[in-house]
Amino acid sequence: MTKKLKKKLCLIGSFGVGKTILVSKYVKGIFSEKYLSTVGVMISQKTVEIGDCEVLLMVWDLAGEDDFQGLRLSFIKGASGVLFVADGTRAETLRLTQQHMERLGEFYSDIPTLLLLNKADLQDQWDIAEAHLDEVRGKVKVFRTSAKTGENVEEAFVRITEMMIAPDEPTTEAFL
Amino acid sequence: MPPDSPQPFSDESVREGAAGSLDSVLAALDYLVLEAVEDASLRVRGAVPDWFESIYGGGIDVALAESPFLTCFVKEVARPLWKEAPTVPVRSGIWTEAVPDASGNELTELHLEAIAMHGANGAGLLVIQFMGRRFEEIQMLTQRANEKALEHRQLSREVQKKDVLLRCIVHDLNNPLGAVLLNLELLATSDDEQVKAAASLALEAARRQRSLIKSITEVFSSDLSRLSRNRGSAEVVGEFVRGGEYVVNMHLNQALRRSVSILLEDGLTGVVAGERKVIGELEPFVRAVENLVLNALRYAPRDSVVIVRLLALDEGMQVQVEDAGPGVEPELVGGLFDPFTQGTTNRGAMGLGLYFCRMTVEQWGGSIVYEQASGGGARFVFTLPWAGDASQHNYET
Ligand SMILES: Nc1nc2c(ncn2[C@@H]2O[C@H](COP(=O)(O)OP(=O)(O)OP(=O)(O)O)[C@@H](O)[C@H]2O)c(=O)[nH]1
Ligand SMILES: [Mg+2]
Repeated sequence: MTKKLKKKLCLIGSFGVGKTILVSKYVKGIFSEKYLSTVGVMISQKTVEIGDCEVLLMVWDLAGEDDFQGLRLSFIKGASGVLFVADGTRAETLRLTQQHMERLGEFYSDIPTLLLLNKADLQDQWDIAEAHLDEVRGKVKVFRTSAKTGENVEEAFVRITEMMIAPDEPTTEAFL
Repeated sequence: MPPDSPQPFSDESVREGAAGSLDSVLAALDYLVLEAVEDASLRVRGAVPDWFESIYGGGIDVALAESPFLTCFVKEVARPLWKEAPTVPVRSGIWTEAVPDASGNELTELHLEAIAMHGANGAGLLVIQFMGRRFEEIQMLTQRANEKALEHRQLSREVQKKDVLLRCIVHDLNNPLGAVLLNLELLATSDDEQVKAAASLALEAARRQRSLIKSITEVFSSDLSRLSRNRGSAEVVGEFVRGGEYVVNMHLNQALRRSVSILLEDGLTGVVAGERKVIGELEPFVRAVENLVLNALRYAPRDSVVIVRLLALDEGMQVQVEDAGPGVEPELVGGLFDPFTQGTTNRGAMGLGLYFCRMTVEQWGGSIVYEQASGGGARFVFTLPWAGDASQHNYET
């Protein structure tokens, strides 16, 4: 018998790191070179099958703010998981992510999180020091992704969904 | 909530009338007003705006069922707010959702914002606004601001890259030239007239080449030109202390956010005469110290201290920047101050920052080294010579 669940997943990160395109790639299989800034939050849905679970994933793609104070905590209420997204060609977006993680930790310390270091296809513009990455790896699991090539995109979304429905996760609620 | 004592009939009807016309104004402005009723459901108050009718013909229950955002906002924000005593309204922020169009097939994007608040009678109200054209305006402004910021970043990075490249070229061209000039000068004092004449010619050419290199850097480089023009200029010690204070104060807040404190240990004031001069210039000095401090902050663990230390040594003024982080891995120390470190691009911006420090300090005849701090953290140490030391007047390399 399949179990049906409904889960809210938030994407958080500086502007232009590729949150919207990652969602588009995962949900619709579409990559676009064009940058269209998100305003507020954009919501899409996708059904993911994990084992005998059918999870209706509500993906909340939050507009990037460059100031970590601007993180809208009210958008995160009720979330079962968070994907932090940083741009591998801009080290400052990873630094902002670290601040976001700290801030989120103050309020929602038990939500599962992953970090996507996006634009992995742009190796010649890579801007992340290994030492910097090591420091981050100590706090969160990191996926190197590319919305352009699709590298690790599906894997990251599936992984976070698995973490969100883990049996010891108390906020699981049934739908339908 | 009904009032305790019955209101005079006329007042009530006046109020209803006023409320009725207000409702139609709100609907005309594309606002949908919902009221929380006793059984925890939501009831439309007043007129239903067209957009809502065309998208959620079935009413608010359909909207709630189809809109994850609205469901979440009502549950997580509005209901908790309504339970409290009346307070300031809470805005949801703009959200975008795809909804089926009138034919029920094609998905169109809908942009809305909701406000949770209390009505005059204390009842919970939910106001939903259709963003329409305003969304496009806000989107355009956001987009422009973001694109400008990205462009600016791209551009300053290009400039920085160009400067570094130029420095490398200048450095490599200048390096052997110092030795060439020294030796030609020696030869030009030869007793052999032929050698002397040839050496003088070569010396002249070499000097011309040196000034050519200088002028290239002055024309093309944004940083280096200023540095080379001011080579050998000196500044009183007190100014450098001010520079150190400036850097520390500039980054206090940023550090505090990460529970790191920055401390300035001033070993100059009161130790050396305030009018004693050091070879160097304030602005590049500040940038060099700032580079080191930013670097230290990046690696400093929570609740630790970054120390900026100013010392007076026999050979000059020393600046130390120390953190309690993991230090630099031994295999990286060798190339720490090189640009584009060791062929890997992985050290990123850090490689450039330290290279800038080295170039700055060396331009003034100083030196910079890395040491491991006593606790294992990183300590960057640079020394600038006191002005007036005769040993500093060789050809710069
Ligand atoms: N080369 C490459 N480009 C990418 C990748 N992911 C995103 N981009 C590009 O990065 C730009 C920004 O992507 P978005 O997804 O719109 O960025 P965002 O994080 O949603 O930005 P905001 O909505 O402003 O917060 C677009 O031009 C994308 O084409 C990637 O993996 N590789
Ligand atoms: Mg976006």
